[in-house]
Amino acid sequence: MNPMNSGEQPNTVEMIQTDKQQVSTCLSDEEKQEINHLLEHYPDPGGAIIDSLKIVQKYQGWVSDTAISALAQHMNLPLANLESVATFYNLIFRQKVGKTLVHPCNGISCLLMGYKSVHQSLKQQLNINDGQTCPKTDITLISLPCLGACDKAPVMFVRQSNRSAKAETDSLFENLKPEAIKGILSQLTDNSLPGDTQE
Amino acid sequence: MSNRPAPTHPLTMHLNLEAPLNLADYQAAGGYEGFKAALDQSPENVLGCLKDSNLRGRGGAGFPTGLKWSFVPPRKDENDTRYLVVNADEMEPGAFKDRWLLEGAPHQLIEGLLIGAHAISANVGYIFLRNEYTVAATRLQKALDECYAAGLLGKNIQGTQLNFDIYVHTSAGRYICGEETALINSLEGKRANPRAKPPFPQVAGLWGKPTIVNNVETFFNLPCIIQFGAKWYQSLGRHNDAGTKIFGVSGRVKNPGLWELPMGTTAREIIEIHAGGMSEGYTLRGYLPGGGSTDFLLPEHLDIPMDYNDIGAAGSRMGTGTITVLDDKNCPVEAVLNLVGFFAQESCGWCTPCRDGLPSATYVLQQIENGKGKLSDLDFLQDICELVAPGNTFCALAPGAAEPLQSGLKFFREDFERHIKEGCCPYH
Repeated sequence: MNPMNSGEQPNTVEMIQTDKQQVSTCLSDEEKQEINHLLEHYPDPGGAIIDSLKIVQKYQGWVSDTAISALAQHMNLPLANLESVATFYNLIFRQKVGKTLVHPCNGISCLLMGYKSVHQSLKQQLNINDGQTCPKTDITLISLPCLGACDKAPVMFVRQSNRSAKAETDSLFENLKPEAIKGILSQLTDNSLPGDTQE
Repeated sequence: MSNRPAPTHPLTMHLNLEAPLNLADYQAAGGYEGFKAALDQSPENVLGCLKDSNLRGRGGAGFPTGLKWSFVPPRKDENDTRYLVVNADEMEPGAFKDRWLLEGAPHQLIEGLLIGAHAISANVGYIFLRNEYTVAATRLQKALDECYAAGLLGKNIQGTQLNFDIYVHTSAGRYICGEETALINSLEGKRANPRAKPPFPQVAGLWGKPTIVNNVETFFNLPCIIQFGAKWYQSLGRHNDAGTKIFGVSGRVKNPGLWELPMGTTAREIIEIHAGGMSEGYTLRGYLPGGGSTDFLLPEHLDIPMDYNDIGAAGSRMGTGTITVLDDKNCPVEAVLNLVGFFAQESCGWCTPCRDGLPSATYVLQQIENGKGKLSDLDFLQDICELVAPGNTFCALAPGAAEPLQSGLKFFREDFERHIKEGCCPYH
């Protein structure tokens, strides 16, 4: 059960427990190849940790316990090194996220120009809170700090992953109005929005 | 030397946001002539010119660039590695200038890096780019590929002894990566905790090698300084500081945006003329002159020249030079809460005043905004400002967070008190 979907955060520290068999087969040859290519760029394998985590994320959508253990083995680095990095950065996901990431900007300029009503509309249409994934549309909502487009505030960054094509499509929606949110979300999913059926 | 007349807008003369100039067009427009002019001189002369120009780092702190670079020790031998790093991890709340420059003229950044490589004999450059800046990443990579194909990057550049490679490194998102030693840790693949100084990165930085970290806009200044000279550059400024600067305005103004203007332009001219003044029905309460980590200023400060020292004397900082205006319909307490909350979230957790002080300030601010505050909370918030003052923390993140907090408490005191006395936010 994915804790993000249930709306509950795990409140106990869990050990990373993985199955040896799963770990050994977790990384595809393509992933390993991309990581090996990266390792050549740095005088020390540690330099490739962040990018390797991003590669795993590109292929698998997020960084699972099995994946991070497999990475540690492949890069011949202590698991703790990778975990300390993976849990530090905003855009490395150690919990499962949806295929579409919706990131409204909550920087100061967007706040002054209407972030709150945009955010409210997003939560309502997806019927989730910030940090959760809408099971129906596979959209995850996470507000991000200042996206550097303050003259077009409020803005929203959307990253859609096509895991079979191992590609990500990024887009920035500018000068947002809360009433435009429904239309934008509808473009991002083939399913109807949970907000459609609600009063 | 080129016969071209010296430009009035050296930072933006090649800027094209729709379709940035490719290598051939950039060169036809005078691009890479600053690099050629640098190659005709010894590294010492280039560094001397940079010092004479009085260019100050455009990332926010305003440290003299020439002086910073002069701390790099002399090279021991050919294989002595040294790094140049571009801080393109723009994440300061209210700052949006680097995205503009990166997307609009990627070759100008590369030219600035090449001049830097010659000046300090660097062999590798990293562009530490914000993850969300994907348009910039694509355009930079295309420009880099063009340079490799044309022999402007790689081994023996332009038939000289200079070997220089540039890599685009996309970050994984953390504000603290803007702190130069934290950025270096992040580049090494670690948590972005800042490092103790000394040793300074110029002596022992990335993987222990001499490293220079500068902001995108700083590198954008280099080609024309070298091509047209320090004296010309000094003449561009309108007040005490040299050169031009990217200034911007966001918030409730008629025409938010970015403009290249002489250093020393007043905030009044930037807000009232370039940004077209406040939007219909809104009046100016105050403004952050250069991003979320700068102290609020009031309408009475509008005529102070936007120069590092003058803004400092007024009690704030130039920061990034991108102004955020606070209007009379937005709640100042909520604005301060948003800023302090951001810094609390982005604290790396390394030192106690920042890790514990900022979240407690955020909690108290939220209580006040919700109408559950007490008057003694204002003293508590003042104490937090002192707890995280410069010298008490490992880096400048928490002192930066205290700037909007202390100035907000000072300038918008009656708003804080109304929240407490009325038991609700008067703006909502």
